[in-house]
Amino acid sequence: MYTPRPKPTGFIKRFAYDSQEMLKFSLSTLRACFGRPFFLTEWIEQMHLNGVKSIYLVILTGLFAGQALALQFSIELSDFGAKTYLGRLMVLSMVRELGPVLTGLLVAARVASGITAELGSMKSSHQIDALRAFSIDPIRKLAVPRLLSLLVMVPVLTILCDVIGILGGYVIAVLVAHIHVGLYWAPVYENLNFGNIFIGLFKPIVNAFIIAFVSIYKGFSSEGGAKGVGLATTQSVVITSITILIANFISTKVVFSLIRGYF
Amino acid sequence: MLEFRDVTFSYGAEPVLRGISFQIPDGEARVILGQSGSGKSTILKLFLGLYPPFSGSVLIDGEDIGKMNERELREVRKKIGMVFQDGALFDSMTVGENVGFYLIEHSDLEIDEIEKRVREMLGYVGLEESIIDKLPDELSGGMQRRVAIGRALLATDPKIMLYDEPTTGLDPESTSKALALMKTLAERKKISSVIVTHQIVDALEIADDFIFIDDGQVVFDGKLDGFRDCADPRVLEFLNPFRRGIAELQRKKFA
Repeated sequence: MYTPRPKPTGFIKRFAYDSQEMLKFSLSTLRACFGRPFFLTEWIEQMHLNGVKSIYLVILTGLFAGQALALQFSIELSDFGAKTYLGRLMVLSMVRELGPVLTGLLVAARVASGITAELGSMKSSHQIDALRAFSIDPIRKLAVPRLLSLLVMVPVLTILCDVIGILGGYVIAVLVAHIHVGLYWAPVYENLNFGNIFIGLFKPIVNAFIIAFVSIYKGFSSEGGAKGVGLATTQSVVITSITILIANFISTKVVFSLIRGYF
Repeated sequence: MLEFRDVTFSYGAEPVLRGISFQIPDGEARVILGQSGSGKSTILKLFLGLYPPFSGSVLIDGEDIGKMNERELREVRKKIGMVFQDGALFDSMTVGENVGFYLIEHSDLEIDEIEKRVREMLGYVGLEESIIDKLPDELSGGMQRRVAIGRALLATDPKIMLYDEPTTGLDPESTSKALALMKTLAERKKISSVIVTHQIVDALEIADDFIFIDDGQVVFDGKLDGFRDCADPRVLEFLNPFRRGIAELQRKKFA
């Protein structure tokens, strides 16, 4: 069972302490995923709250981001007479980069804040202590369903964002750039290869871990009543968003070099 | 028997408990008094094994719970009912789900049987069955506190009850109902009770034995008379605002 230890003072010590505690907490949560009891109802409920309720947001974001991207690409490509590359560019940018990052940031803003605020308020009102008093492991009951729900739903939402973004690009390609339907879709299918799909699914899984571990840890470790919960919620969104962007760059660099031959 | 043996504990750099020792024999009620932030609630959390002490021993029936793992602690917690400050009811669950929480999670009972027991428990703690489908937010503070007591009782049929500020923030009528329920439990069921509060007048209704804590140390451990006459300036400062209330209550009690 994860038990927080006294916090040190001083920025560097505090940062090192927080990183160490978050790592310990994350390992406890991962370990708890493989034990009993398994709270299936909570898992399904969290998938609904974190995933299904984010669908509209992801659709709107994917659609408008895809359309804006296609608009910019079509203007620049037409200067070189290379508008037929629009489909290829849309796939590469949406599947490899924009889809995972945009979805990650959206879920971080919507879900990470919600998770931290909910768990933080449960902690400040002693509900987490009450769970332990009733012999329920709060990590199994609260952390594991949230982690597993994000591991399922973030990749699903990312795929949705990719598809909607590419469809948005198609609308612009046909109506604004006047590209033939076949000339848009052929490079799209061609570039949906193992390498691009792998990187497009690897990143959201990393994002799901980041969102879950940071937001759940921040909720569990928040202190100081309503003000403390507010602070933890803000920190959760900021840390999650920045970490997603850094992890995205590292994933691109590392995964790209590892599976270069599959693109 | 509940016992603290030279226990120290800290949440941060500053120690919260500094070498605290006391004993509570089986079936007795003991009130732990002290100013806010003196470490009273921490004592209850250590009794529940939510945190291990930094040094010293927390003993329940002779077993040192500070050295137990989570699985062993779960067994010990089955003997203990805890009423948290403000009730700590699960706010996303109904009253019925809160009261029947332990049975839902840990027993193989049919849902109808659990509901029957929940309804009986609501009656026992003086609440109407009609609130079973309400959310905790829809109840008054006093009702929430009684739901919390019902939840603790239905959970494990405890031998020990821990109350954290059970009457703080309640109106006089709710306070007297909560106190009457706690008294009934202590007397009829012979449950050992530890009541943490800074409301000494309320505490007098339930127990005659007091532990006064200040700055993480036991300043006084004994009966009311000794407490009232204690010359320690920290006790005098704490008692001064309550002296009239204590005198009136003592008069009523011994009339």
